[in-house]
Amino acid sequence: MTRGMKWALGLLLVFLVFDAVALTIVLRARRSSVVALSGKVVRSGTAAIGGPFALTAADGHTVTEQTYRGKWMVIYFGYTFCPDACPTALSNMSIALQKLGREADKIQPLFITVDPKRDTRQVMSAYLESFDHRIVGLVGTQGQTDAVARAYRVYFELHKEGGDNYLVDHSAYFYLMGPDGKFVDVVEGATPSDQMADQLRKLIDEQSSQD
Amino acid sequence: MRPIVAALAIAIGTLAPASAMAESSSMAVEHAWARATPKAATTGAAYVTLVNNGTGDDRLVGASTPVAEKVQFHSETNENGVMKMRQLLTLDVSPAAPVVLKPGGIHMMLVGLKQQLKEGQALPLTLTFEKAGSIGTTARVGKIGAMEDPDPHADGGE
Amino acid sequence: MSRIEETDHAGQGRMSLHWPWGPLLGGMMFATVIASILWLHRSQTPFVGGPFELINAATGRQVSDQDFRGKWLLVFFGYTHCPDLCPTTLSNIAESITQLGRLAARVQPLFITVDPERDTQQVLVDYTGAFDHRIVGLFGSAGQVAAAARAYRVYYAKRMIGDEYYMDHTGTIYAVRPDGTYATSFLSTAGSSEIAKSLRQLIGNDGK
Repeated sequence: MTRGMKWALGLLLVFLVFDAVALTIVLRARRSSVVALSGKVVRSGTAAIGGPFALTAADGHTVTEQTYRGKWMVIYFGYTFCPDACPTALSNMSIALQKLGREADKIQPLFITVDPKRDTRQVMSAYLESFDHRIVGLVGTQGQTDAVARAYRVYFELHKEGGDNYLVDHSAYFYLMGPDGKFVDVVEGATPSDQMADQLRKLIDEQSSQD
Repeated sequence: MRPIVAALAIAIGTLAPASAMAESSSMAVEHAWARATPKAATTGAAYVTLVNNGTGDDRLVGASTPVAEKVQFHSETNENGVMKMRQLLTLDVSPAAPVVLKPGGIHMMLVGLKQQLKEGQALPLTLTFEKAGSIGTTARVGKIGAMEDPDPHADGGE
Repeated sequence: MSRIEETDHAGQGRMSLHWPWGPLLGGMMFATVIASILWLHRSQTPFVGGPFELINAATGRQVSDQDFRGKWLLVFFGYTHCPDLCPTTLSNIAESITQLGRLAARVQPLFITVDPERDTQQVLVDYTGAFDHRIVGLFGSAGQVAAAARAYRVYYAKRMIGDEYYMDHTGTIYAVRPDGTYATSFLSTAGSSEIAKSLRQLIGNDGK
C-alpha cells in the first residue's frame, strides 16, 4: 500500500463516519412531522342493520323505532363538537330535503348524537336550529346510545387524548330505513345535496314500486 | 496531499451554490375561509391554501384566532365508512405543491368558539410558520355547509 | 459472478489507481451532508432587512433606513384596519419598551403600513399614538412600501370580504442592530416580556 492510498483510505473512513452521524441528524430533523393519534380500524358490516331503540328528542319526547313507522327514516350519527363532517352532512341533507319538495314529507331525518356527555338536549336543539327544522335531534344515556349504535352497526370511538376536546370517530353515512323499519341503503354524508336528493328519491321510488 | 485538495475543492464547489440558495421561504396564504357555525356549536372549521413560493420546505406550526381558545389542525379520512379525525401537530408545506385545506380533508378546527360565526363575517386568523414566521390573514365566513371559499376570485395582488 | 468481473475491470481501469476515489466520494458525501444541514438550518440565518425609503408619519418627511442608524429598531409591518394581529402586536411592542425602562431610549419601534391606500399620515399618527407615542408610523407610495417589504421578506396581499378589503401580511417583528444589520425576530405569539428580555440581552451584549 502506498502512502497515498493509506491517506485515501483514512480520509474515506473519516468522511464515512462523519456522513453517518450527519445523516442521522438530518434524517431525525426531516422525520415526518405528522403525529397521528392512534386509533383502531373497525369494519362495520351491513347485515341486519337497525332494530329497537329508545332515545329522547330535544323537546323531551321519547322516540323509539316505532315512532316513525310509515315514514322513511334517514338517520345520521354524529356530534356537535364535530367541526367538519357533521355540518357538511347535515347541511347537505337540509338542502336535499328542500329539493325533494313534497316527497320530503315521506322522510323523517334524525340526527343521533354519539357524544351524549357533551350533547345535551339543549345543545342539540340549538345546534339543529341552523339546519332544516325537520331534522330531529335525539340523545340518550350512554347505555341507550351504545345500544342504538350497536343496532345500526354504527361504529364510534371516543379519543380521550385531547382531554375535554376529545374527538369521536363516527359513521360517515346516513342510514335509510324503509317505512317498515327495515334497512334499505346508506347515503354518504359528503354526497352533494343534488345527488343526495336524487339518491333518496330513487331509493324511495324503487322501494314503493315493489310494494 | 493531492487527494485532500481534490476533496476540498469538490466540497467547496458543491457548497457554494447550496449556500446561495439558503434563504427563507416565502409563503402565500390564499383562499382563507371559514364556515358559519350552528348555534351552540363550540367548534368551527377554517380552511386555507398555502403556497410556498420559496426554495425550501416550510412548516405550519401553529394558528390562532381571537374568536376561539385554540386552533388545531386535523386530518379527516373516511376509512371503511368511518369518519376519522386526527390531530396533526404541524403541516409540511413544500414548494412542490400547495397545501389545500378543505372540507373532508385537512382542516383547522377552532376549539372553544367564543362566538357564533355568521356568514359574511371576517374572521382574523394568524398562522405561524417555522421559516416564514407569523402571517396574519382574514378568512371569509361562508355558509354552514359551504364546501369552498365563498368568493374564490376576490383575492387580489399586493 | 458479476461482482468479481467488475472488480477485475476496476483493477484494470486506467484511472482507478491514480484517482483518489475514496476522498472524492467521501468529499462529495461530506459536501452533500453539509449542504443539507445548511439547507435545513437556513431559517436561522435569514437575510432580512435592508434599505428602504418611506415617509415618517410624525414629521411628514422622507426617511430612509440610514436615518435610524445608531438605534435598535423593532420593525413591524401591518395596517390600521387590521382586526386582530396588529393591535395585539403593537400592544406587545408598546408594553415591551415600557418594560425596558431607560434602555427604551435606544430602541425605535417602527410600524410600516402595507395599506398606504387607506393609511394616510394622520390615520397612522392617530393609530400608533393609541399604543405608544414612541412608535413611529411609516408610509409611502405603493412602490416604496413594496420595496421595504421585499427588503424584509415580508409577504402581503389584499383580500376582499364583501365590500371591505383586508390585508394578509407577515406579522413577524424584526429587531435590527444600530449598524442596520439583522439581529433577531419575534413571532406574533411572542409576549411583551419575551421581547423586552431579548432586547435587554442584545443591547447588553452590544457592550455600549
